[in-house]
Amino acid sequence: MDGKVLTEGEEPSPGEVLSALEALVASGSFRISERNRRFLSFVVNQTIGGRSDRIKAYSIGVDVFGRDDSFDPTVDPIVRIEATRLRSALNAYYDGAGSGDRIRITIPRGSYVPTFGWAAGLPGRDGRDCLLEGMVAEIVDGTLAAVVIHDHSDQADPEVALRGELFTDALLPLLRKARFKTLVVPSVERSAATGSINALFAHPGETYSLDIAVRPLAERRRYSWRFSDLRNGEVLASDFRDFVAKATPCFELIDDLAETAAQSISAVIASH
Amino acid sequence: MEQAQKRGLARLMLRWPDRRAALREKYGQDIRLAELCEAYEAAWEAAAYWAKSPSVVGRERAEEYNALASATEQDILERIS
Repeated sequence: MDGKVLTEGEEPSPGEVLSALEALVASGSFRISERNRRFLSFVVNQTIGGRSDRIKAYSIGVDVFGRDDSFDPTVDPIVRIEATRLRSALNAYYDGAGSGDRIRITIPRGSYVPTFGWAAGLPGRDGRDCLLEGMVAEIVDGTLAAVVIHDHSDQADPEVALRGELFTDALLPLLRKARFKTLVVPSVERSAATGSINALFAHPGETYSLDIAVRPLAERRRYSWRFSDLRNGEVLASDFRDFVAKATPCFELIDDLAETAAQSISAVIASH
Repeated sequence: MEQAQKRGLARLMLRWPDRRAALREKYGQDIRLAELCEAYEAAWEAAAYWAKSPSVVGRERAEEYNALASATEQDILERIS
């Protein structure tokens, strides 16, 4: 899943991103049209060239899709549609043939500006999981608080696993915005990252755990979170909410719960 | 946004009656599939808009969006298979 990319800390260099882009578009497993290859190359090159402010639907429509200066994205949604197809193709590639790629290129929803990060749990530039190593060093120095999110939802149940993932996704940007170093306990197959997180647990620095879960309760789903100080195990804050399960997860309710949780955590840390 | 996703899903269910169960099941599990449903709906709406447009590029745009809807169908088929 592209959502598992960690973008905190040191980013890949422009040269490394370009190499990753070349390998990606040359891969037979990355199935996109020629113009979507140009689309991806355009937004990546603009970003690493420091021109991400130029990446708008209008400029992409004109520069990539050959529209003229009367291009109106509201009635001509070519960029929005192709961006969705591109995100889906990137997601499928990194879930499959590209799962071993160290550098991940993603285009977050709501934006056409790509982000570049190291794949969680895979070796970084020098063979180490550099993000996690860096975080350990900072936490040992006592300069940053880290929050480790551990999703306890039953991964064998795809429905609650999806909701747990949505809850994690909703929490991540809010915690990062609150200036926490945020890590996610990865799935069992990503044991390299697990090792680094265990190293974090072993250090007495300012590190907290955020245990979350989505559990089925008849027709409802219980979303719970528990925020603990790893130095002494003290639970500093916790809460839960029950939502009626619908075919499509209730994104707004999940986002709202994540926001409440992030605010509570920030308040606890401020007074701790 | 969610309404457009549901309209796209409904359109696909009409298009592929034998894949309704797979669509319904995967739609609730795969956020990318839901987004593709929205893109699919947007492609059809744009095709309809340009087919009625008096613009000199109206017909060309309508054909482009019809082709894009077909390409998005293929993406969705791969996603649910």
